[in-house]
Amino acid sequence: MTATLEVDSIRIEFGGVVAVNDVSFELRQGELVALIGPNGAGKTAMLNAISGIYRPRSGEVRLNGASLRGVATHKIAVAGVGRAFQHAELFAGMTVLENLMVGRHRQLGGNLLSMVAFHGPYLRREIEQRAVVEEVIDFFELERYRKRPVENLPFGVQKLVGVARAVCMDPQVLLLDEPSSGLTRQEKEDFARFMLRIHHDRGLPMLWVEHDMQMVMDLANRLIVLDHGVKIADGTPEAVAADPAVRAAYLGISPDTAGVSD
Amino acid sequence: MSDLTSTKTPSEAPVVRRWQSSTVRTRRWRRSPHLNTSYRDDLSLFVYSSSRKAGMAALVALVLLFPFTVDNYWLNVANFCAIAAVGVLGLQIVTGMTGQLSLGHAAFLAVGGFVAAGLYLHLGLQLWLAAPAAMLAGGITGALAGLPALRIRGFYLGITTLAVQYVVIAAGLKYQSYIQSSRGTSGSLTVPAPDLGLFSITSVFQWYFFLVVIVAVATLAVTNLRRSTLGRSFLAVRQGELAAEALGINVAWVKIIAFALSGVFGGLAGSLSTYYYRSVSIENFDLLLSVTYLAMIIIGGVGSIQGAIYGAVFVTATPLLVGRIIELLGLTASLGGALRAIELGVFALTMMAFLLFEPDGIAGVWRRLKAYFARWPYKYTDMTTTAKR
Repeated sequence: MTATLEVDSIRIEFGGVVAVNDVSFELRQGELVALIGPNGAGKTAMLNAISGIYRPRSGEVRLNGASLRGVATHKIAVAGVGRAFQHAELFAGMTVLENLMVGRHRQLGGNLLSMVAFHGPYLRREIEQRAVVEEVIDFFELERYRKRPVENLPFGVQKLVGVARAVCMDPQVLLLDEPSSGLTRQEKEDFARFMLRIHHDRGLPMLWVEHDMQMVMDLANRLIVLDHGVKIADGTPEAVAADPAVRAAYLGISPDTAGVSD
Repeated sequence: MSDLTSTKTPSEAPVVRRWQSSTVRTRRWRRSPHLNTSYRDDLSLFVYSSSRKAGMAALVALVLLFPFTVDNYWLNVANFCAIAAVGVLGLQIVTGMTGQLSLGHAAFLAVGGFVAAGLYLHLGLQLWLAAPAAMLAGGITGALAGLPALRIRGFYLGITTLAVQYVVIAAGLKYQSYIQSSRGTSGSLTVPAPDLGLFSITSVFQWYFFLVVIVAVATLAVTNLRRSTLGRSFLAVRQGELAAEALGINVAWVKIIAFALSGVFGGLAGSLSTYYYRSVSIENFDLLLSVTYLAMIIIGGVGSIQGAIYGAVFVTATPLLVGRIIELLGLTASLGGALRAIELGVFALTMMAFLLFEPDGIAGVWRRLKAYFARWPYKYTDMTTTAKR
């Protein structure tokens, strides 16, 4: 099976600091891949490189075989890279519904006059896209928050809206940056259920940065471990858990393998 | 899913079903404001509640009856407010909604005003042609003024828009002295009373109704824009450029559109003011005017469309009201010399009061009042469920 997302020897530098050093991996159709590693391992930098927020010094990202090198961030998003942020990054001042409708931005284009008139073809498109968004609202069980301004929602709901907004984009791949951080146990379990449903119902490949090891071990098909910007493991949860290099990176013991991470 | 009522939340479903079983589908204008059965109804601007209908009727009655109850002085004040309201809608788009500081809004008004005057002086074109031309010219100036927004933001952007203002003022001054020297007219550039083909507008009374229609159309246009995908993009850019970009919004393009639209409304207001005063002079479009427009959106409520109107009315009418009160109290003799200082003082104090106590402006006060009476007689006002508008 061909890979949906290919990351080919990406290197990201900030000044003289190497944040991500020559990392390569692939994300195949329907795969739920967790990107893990200690703090500062370069996980978020990796996601930013994929969505075009950071420009890698070398290497390239390919989506369905097409290179994303030098493509503007918003065009990468339109090409099919959906992104949910660590701190939700919802648009305050708008309702949940409006935030999700932003995810349908691409389908709602039209000329200025038709928007000013809010009539005819534009209104029809707005209604069509509203129906799509309602399906996502249904999927994430956000009905009762539909018309609430996002800034007043509990943090757990905000993060869910962040993911729902990315799903609204009909992406080819979904990048999730620590979707469960800051959630309560209950919210995390709900969230795990939604992730599995996206995985099963939509078959959407997901690249998922996560710190909760229990969640990762239970849900992910595959783990990619970064440490100090270097990929030190890539495999099934069981294989990765048994990897001495991973244990060294996380626990800081076993001096004979400690050099691997540098 | 095509029907809003078939939501699957257990807590909502029984209520909706009970309503459906006992009520036949009512006529459009009698439907509940809280239960829409199609997305089209849900997107409708006009909510079908009796209190809302009564409110709208009261507003229309107030606007229509106002000119019959006051003298020309207050009619003039109302017309100033209306012209300011058109102009401030543009600033509300770029600064209020999109979050791009614009210190050069007076420049767009100046461009509109001078294009209208110039078209008459050189080509003999009347307001009905000059106004669209002024909007176009304002839009182009706005787009140019917005170009720096691609690279810089915040206060730095504010300073570049200030530069645009000075460029426009310099150009306007050149043009004004050229006209004065070539035609020998003293003072300013003059235009006749607007002739709209079927009728001409000569009295303040006629102007009032003309301007009310324009303000209504402009407000409706901005309201529609705000609830379209472009309006959502504006707010998205204000709240988080990175997230907006990651959702496929071309942030640079949205900023330029916002500036261009701000210029369109500024240009329209400028052309209207030229024809209202029958003349235009570059000295009126100084930095103070730009700051006054900023004050309107802050006092009215940043990002709120109705707030823009409230702000325009408040900022325009307050100094005139203060002047009138002093006159009525018979204090002109003792305070007359300090009238300007008093007007500015009142303006400064209200500005500070709003910044300190009500960052959401008059629109915020109005929203809280409505929330209060929605719950009355219960004390608790739930502000978390209503979005700012």
